[in-house]
Amino acid sequence: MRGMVYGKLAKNYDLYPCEEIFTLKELLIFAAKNHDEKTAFQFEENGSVTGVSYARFLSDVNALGTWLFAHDFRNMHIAVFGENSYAWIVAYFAVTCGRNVIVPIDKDASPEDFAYYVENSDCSAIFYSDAYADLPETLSPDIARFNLKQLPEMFAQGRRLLDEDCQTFVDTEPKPGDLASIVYTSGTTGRPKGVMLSHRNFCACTCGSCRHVNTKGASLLTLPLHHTYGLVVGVFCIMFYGCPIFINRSPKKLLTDFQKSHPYFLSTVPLIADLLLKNIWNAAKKDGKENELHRLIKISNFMLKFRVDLRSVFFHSILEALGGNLKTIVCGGAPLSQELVDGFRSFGIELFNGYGITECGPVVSVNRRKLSVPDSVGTPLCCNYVKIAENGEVLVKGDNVMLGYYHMPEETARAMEDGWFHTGDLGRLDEKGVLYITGRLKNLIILGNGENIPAEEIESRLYTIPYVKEAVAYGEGNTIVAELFLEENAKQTQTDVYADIKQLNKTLPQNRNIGKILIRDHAFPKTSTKKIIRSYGGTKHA
Amino acid sequence: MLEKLTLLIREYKGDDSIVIDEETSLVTDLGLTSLDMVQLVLDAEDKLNIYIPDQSLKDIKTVGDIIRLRK
Repeated sequence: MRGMVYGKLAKNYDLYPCEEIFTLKELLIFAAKNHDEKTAFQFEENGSVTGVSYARFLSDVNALGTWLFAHDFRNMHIAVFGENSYAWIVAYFAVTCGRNVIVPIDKDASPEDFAYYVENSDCSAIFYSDAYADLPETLSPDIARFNLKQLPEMFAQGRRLLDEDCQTFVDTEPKPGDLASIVYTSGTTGRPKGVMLSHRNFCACTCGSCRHVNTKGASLLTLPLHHTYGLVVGVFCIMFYGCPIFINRSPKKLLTDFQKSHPYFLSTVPLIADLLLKNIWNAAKKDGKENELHRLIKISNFMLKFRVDLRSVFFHSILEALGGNLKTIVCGGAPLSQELVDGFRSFGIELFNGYGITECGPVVSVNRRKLSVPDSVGTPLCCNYVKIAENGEVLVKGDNVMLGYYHMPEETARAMEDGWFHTGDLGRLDEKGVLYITGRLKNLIILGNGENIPAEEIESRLYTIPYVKEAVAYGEGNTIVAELFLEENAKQTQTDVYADIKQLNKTLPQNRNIGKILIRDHAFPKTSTKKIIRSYGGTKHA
Repeated sequence: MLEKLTLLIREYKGDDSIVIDEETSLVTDLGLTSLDMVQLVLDAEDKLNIYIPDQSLKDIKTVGDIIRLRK
């Protein structure tokens, strides 16, 4: 396979120093040793903000891990299910640091998907949050169930065991190549695939990310932890830097949590970044200051050309809505518009676009403070190599690339070739090694919140409408579009089609609802094998 | 409740001509994203004195769902 290989070879400025670690336990101990009594996590509890230090976090993990060992939970697969919380994170580390395997499950999973994840991953136990107890309660009694609200009791029992010198968990050392987690991700067809990630995969990605982008202040965790992006960039990387992580527990509290956490750093998805910027402008509009804001931005941008930065002076009061300290946002999970990057930069907030995929731990590349290239996803992390295959596909090789798909050796073989992972995304590398994503080979709809939805799944439902002859589903910003060609003798009007799609939406999950309908005059263009030619990002693929 | 939600949605979308019924799809008819829906629910909780649990947010697809899922 030909193609230029970039990664460690990319032209880049000095990377930030970062101690190498190889297991999540080493990360946990590194953070406790180096950041000790500094605040690790903050969260709202009973109306007030509670803080937990790095030392206390280690102690809680050791207590829960010891409890698990005392109850013979060893060499097992254990799920965690629920909204973001401190207890969720402790459970994650207690499982993985004891050489058990954690299976994070989306709290919004359908009952069918939930049952599939637990069964397919061979889970013997599950930690779940009280708010999402319904589904775990349907599981077979063979699967041990722990409500996360019971954790304080388990900590107390674990601490008593530690006092009695039960040190087995504390002395357990996972190996870098050990399987740490099985993370489910949407395939283009069939059931979701369980991505097997090792301790080495996570740590390579964490160290790699920390060497490319650094932070020195508080962060707000906005992304669900069952996504590797939220976990690695939102928790693991911040643990390295020893900064406080404020855990947002509900999307309803997203904006108010900015006032409580005053974040300096945010890792998020384009949909949330877009919401934050819109909120700034809506507030200005409400106060009748929209024109004034436009004028100040013009002056500020002009002065920046002469290296005079007035942004903190001009926009201080406006940025109070985001806590007043926000300086860095890293965005991934979905394509990001340059307007958004420029919009934040006008206010003095750097927004770095990155690229990743669960199978790569997940971060592959990111823009940097002094090397931010418009419309690109930055340079490959130092932990991986990137090259472009002859068909334009982005291939990745490195310590962050997964072990394979759980119970799916054929899928694994299809995705890997001589150690190179086939991302299914199309891209190009420029002469400096900067990566651009230009389209997709796989039929996935990627929405602004990072959600990956198989197009075929939507299309198969569209074909249940009797007069639909051909259907293609694709994403347009944050909207799922259904483009249809109807049977020649179909008498349905546009209004009829609209009504039928609305009915169909009622049977689809909220995140798969179709937002736009296009009816074609002509059939879709086809390949010689009569497959519909799809169009993504200006490129066509059968 | 429908009348109050109509006013709320008109204000949220900045469009006084919007007409809704319980069957109105938040995605297809109103073009809302998942985060828009959360913002709309927050507005409804704030102004209409209702409460929708976090666990129910994913089940809201129509205006009628907001009415049915409120506590």
